[in-house]
Amino acid sequence: MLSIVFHTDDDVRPAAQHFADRRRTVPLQFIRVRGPSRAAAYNHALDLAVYPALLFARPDAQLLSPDFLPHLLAHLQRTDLLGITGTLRVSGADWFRSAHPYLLGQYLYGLPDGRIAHVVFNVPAPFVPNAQALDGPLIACPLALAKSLRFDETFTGLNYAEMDFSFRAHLAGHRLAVACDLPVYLPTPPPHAPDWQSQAARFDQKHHHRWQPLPERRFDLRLISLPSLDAALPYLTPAYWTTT
Amino acid sequence: MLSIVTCSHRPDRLAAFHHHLRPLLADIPHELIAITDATGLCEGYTRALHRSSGNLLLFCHDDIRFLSPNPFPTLLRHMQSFDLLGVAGTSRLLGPHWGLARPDFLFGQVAHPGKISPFEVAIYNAPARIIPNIQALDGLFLCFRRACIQSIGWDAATFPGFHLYDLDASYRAYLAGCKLAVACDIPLLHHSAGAYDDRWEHAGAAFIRKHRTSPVLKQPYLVPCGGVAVHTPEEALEVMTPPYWPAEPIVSPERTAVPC
Repeated sequence: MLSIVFHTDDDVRPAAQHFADRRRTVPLQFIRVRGPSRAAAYNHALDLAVYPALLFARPDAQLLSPDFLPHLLAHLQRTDLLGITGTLRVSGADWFRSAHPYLLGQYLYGLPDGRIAHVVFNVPAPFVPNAQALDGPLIACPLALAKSLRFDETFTGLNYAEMDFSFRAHLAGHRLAVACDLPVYLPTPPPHAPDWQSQAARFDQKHHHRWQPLPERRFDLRLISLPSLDAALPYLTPAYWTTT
Repeated sequence: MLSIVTCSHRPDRLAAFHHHLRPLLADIPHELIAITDATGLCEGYTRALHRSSGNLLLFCHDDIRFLSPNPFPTLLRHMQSFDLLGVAGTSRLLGPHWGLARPDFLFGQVAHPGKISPFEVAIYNAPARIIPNIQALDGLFLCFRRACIQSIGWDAATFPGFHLYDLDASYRAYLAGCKLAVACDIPLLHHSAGAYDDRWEHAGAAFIRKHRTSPVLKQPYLVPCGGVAVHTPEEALEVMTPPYWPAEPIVSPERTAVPC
């Protein structure tokens, strides 16, 4: 049983149908929340959710396997918070600041020329535990945990609600994991909201004494441009998951 | 006994390399073999093979440096399970360079001097300490069991120069049924990158001619690996030791014995 939260002003019926098509037999509740603050919207959703597990999802995220939601719930049996991207080490306000080998996860997104980009942070295994923070288009957790932590509404925009929420979960001793085997396609790249810098500064102000900084490290993401979703799908399941 | 073989035309570089090796080999029975007048790596390595007495033979470049404090116990432990070990390679060879394989079939990580920072770490894939089922390896570091390299040999006739000798020998070892692996947990700093010039093209064509009956000539992938710019060798070592690996097994003295 899963309550799915979409933060958007748009009609979520297409998204709900898409997610429902990938639920198998999992009962779903869909919650749409609005407003300029993602943290406030998500807190409102906590009051509306009825099922014991929650999924905060970008409404345009396309789930690329038919049993995506049962698989997600199975992973959630092994961890407290689950995302599809994250870091094993928070060392600054950007979750990706820690660079390799700490970053985890992968996803596909659409390029302006119609091709598909495969972004690979690091996917050493289908399920990687011991993350310190999560980000990205999907984050799942038990409702009880979300209600106990709640989202920090001092993050007033679209960024950092999830990062702060997941990092606080880690600091509180909860288990965080990244599922590298939940295939997701985003029609557009992850947005960079205009208030990103001010929210990053807020995160830094709130948490800077809680991480060990790392030297600034430029890194090259592995980004592969592929002609179609069909061509991209095999890249999401590295052969070494079964051969090593 | 571990025989460490290096072909080097540069006495200063060779001396520095041996100086680097000696403390790392303090507790390891070993011999250092230097070929200073090789006309090609196959020719030099073949001479060294005849001169050597080790059960294990490490053929390596003279401009590598080990970044971890105890690489040889790690190497010996891995060689209990494999016939040929490298630090970068592929589990599906598609052409005359191991890096032409699909990205998820590439393994290993190597640090180099960087262009915009002192060092850059090239990370192909390092999901585990050791990656089995490898088909071909890079020649900067190749450790063979003696039986393996004696049966395979180095093909100086086809590869008289300094290119493709590694891909050919490792791929033939794979075809002969030897067990190949990439050790991601022997982090190396390599002071030079490959030179892809006319001589490399010539050797590549020779490799394709030689292996034309093997299923290696498919459409290659040309995807850059992930890379991280770092400032010090210590940082490179940190980047090359992912936290998702299990702790390295504690190696007791008797386990450091060279496998027969």
